[in-house]
Amino acid sequence: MIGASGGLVRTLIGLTQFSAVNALGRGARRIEEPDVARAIVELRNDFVAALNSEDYSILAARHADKRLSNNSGVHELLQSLALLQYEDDDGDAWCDVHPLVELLLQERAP
Amino acid sequence: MTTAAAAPASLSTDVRGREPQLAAPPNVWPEIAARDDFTNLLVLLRHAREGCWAFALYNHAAVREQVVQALTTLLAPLPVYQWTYSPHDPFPYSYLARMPEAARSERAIILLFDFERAGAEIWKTLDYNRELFSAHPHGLVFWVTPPGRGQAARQAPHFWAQRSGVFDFTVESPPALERVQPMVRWDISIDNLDETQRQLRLYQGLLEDLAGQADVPALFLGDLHLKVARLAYYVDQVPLARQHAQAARDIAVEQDAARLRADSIQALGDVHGRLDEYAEARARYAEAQPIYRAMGDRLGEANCIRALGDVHVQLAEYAEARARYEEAQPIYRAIGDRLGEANCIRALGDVHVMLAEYAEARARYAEAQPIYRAIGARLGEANCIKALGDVHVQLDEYAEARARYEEAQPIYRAIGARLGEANCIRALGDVHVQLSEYAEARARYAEAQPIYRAIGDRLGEANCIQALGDVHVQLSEYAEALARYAEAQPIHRAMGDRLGEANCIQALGDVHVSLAEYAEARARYAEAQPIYRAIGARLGEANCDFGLADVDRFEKSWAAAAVGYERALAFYRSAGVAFNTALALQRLGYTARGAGDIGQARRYFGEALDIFQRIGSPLTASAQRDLEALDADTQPARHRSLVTLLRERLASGRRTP
Repeated sequence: MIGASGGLVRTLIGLTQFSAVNALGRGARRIEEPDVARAIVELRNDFVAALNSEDYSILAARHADKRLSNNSGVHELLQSLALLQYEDDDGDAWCDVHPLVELLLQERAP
Repeated sequence: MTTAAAAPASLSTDVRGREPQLAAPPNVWPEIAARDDFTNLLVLLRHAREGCWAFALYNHAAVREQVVQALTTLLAPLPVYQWTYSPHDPFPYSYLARMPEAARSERAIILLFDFERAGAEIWKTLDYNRELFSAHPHGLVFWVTPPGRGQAARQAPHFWAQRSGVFDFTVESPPALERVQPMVRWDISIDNLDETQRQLRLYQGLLEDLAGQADVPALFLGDLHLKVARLAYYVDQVPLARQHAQAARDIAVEQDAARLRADSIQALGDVHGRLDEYAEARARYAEAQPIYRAMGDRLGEANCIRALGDVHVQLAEYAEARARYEEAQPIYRAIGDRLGEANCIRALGDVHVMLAEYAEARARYAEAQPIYRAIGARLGEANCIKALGDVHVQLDEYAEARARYEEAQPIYRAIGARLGEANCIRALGDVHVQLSEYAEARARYAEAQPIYRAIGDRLGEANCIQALGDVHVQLSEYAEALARYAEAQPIHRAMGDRLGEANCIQALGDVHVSLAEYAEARARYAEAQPIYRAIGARLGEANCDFGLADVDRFEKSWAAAAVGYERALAFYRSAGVAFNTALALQRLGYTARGAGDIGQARRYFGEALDIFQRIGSPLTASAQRDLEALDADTQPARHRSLVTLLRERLASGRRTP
């Protein structure tokens, strides 16, 4: 779940909550692996719904070069958390796609 | 959320097995009932507290309607509220204003619909104001189409990031006609805004669901269009009403369906009337009436004749209006429609009011009231009592007016007619203003305003805010008055109420004059005047001339002021507005006095005094004082003249008498 959150605490809490709802929905009082797996699929589906074909081109490019740029497409993807900004030990900013989006990129790779 | 591919199980068994406290749900789309998303959304909402919001995906309104009904039943006793967004009301928190005050801090589920119809800006507004949603213990469900989900994710990313889930209620096949037909009521309900909104969004959605389906009867679609037109009309979505009334008429013509044709033409007449297009409205009613007559539908015919009467009232053609109402009344009586008959009698009372024939008006209302009571039409009864109160106001009988309003108000409240209740409270405020009881007036307006807001009557709300501004002016609380007028003005504009908008702008000008901010005052009058002119509101136009003349006078531009007052005076005289005429004469007196023309000033003051005395105005005393002050001012001048004359005569060696 931590890996699927991309290191975002809010997303981690969200995934936990999705998982809890899934568990309660099937009448269980404990979160189990299928609940988490389903929560991850839900989050992945939300990315699928939000991204368009142009986004995938930008995401593929950023995944390849990890470089941040100040254009509206990148800005929107950062806002939607499909693209995540990180800092290295020297404080330099870089970016990469969300781990779940990386899976989507792999599925769409020619 | 994913769609479970399980075989359709018995929903009640399925859900009961997971959540023993859930009752058997009502009829739910079978494909939906089998989904985990349905159960999971229920689970989420049962645990929802502050800051919990989810998205529910749908692609067919018929399915959404059934899921909503099932959720509402299964969530009981947790209250479930519904709110529909529209271009007319695109504010994300409008639902809060609709809730009872106490309920805002109680746990509840809010189902929110039609974001996609509310205009592109709503997503951004949602994103910027998301924290406000967290301030109430409400679980929120935003019903969106798949494209709407994409819009939310991209245009409201922060709001989207805080979601508690996305639940999928999309189905692969559009709903079949036999599933849709039972959802359509034979009539429309306009007594309750929630139900009106529900029907409107359902029927709009059903039209989209059925679009392109080959086996749908054209007349069924025509009837749906007509229902959407009428519902949209009642919630002030006039362009939408027009669009669907035209669609219904087109189908009626194509299908040669006389009733649908007459009904849709009448609906178009109503739309034209609402848009102040009275010639077109008259033409539509005159077109529909013979169709009803040819069908032998006397009720439809009478309704058209009465609507023609209403158009004549709007055009101030009161003799013609009276003739129409007197023509419709016996038809209603002949077919035993006592409600229609009483409505005609009351409308005749309204005509008498417009003609200042108050005794006749009173008689009509007193005739209609027992008919309403006999048939249990409490709304009509309350309207008559309220109208009697209005007549008392016209006759300056404020104690009697107050009694009538206080009699009508509990009837409105008892039947849930909140508009009538708010109108009574506002009218009581107006009575207090007339009695100079400003604190009480303020309390009344402040009581009425949230009711107007709660029922979505933005015009009523704006009028209350404006009235509060007027009270502030009377109490010389000018900053508060400016704030109220500035608050009311955009509401009037948004509602297309140009007269109300111009009145607010003019009132802002008046306040600026009181604050000696003459440049601002001039700008406001100059802004309001062309609006009045464009809508033919000549009194307002003249009042702006008057206001601009006030500014000129305070800036000692005597000639310009005199021209402005004279222009206003000419209109006031021609319209027979005695009080304004006297006021303009008084101001002309001040202007002449300022310009040093004492004789002219005396003539103006004298004429103003005569009129004020004749109409019994409290300004009589002020006009009297103006004249006395003029005499006092001129005494030293007269003494000076005598001294000068004496000196001249002494210098010339002549003796004084």
